[in-house]
Amino acid sequence: MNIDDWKSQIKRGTLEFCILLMIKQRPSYGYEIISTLEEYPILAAKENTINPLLRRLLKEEYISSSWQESVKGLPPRKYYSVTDKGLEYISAMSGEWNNLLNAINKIKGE
Amino acid sequence: MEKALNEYLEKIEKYLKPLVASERVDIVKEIKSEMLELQGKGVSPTQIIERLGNPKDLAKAYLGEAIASSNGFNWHRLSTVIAFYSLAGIGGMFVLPFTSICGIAFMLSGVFSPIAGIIKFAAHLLGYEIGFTIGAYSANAIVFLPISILMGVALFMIGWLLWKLTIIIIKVMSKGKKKLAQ
Repeated sequence: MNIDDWKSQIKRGTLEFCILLMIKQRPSYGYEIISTLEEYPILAAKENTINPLLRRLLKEEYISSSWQESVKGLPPRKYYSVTDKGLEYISAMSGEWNNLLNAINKIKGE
Repeated sequence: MEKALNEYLEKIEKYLKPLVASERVDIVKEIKSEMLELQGKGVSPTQIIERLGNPKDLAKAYLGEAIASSNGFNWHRLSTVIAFYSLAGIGGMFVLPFTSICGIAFMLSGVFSPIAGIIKFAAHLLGYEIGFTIGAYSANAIVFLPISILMGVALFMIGWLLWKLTIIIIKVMSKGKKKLAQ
């Protein structure tokens, strides 16, 4: 049984959705996003996955970023927040996600 | 900041050379910010570097995303690919330049062929015959025009397919390197 391979495919497909949902709650910076994801083994991913993903979302204008220069004792942080286009994208994804869950439940016969 | 961390950032900067300066600076600044964040939590420089992984792989993850995320052909993207692989040097070094350069050469030939046909046709109308002979065969200008256009389309298609292949190879490579943490 190779559950890991399947899990990483699920992760590949859902990370973008999860990150957008997280940034929608409140603007966050890269390390914060990565450490929140680390709390959930199925979503845990490293910098080399998350950082390029954030850049792509930026380029596609689903999110925007701004540098918050040093507050006392803290390093400068790059905060990401969701754009209007991003909000539309999230609601479309949420719809599809519900479709998927409904379909799985029906197929299971529950 | 620790020497080892600075060296790490310098390496990232070097491998990101193919990107425009502003983007490169921003990426390095963001990684540096995370290093400081971790240091503030008492994580040692060795652990930080271990966490971030091989600088070449991290840089490649950024470039892979930049290259694979958009479709279609553009010169900037092409130069990014070639520049990165000449810096990082890996297995695909021979395949990629071949498919990408042949792809472009074919596409260009595809563009030039009908142009040549049009020039020959225009010259014919003006009373000149521009030579185009294969052995004893010399196409006349009126026949040559559609032939040159068909040839151009065929050449362009071959070039386009090779270019697509280049993109697929890059996608597979960057996927392989991403290795989502379990």
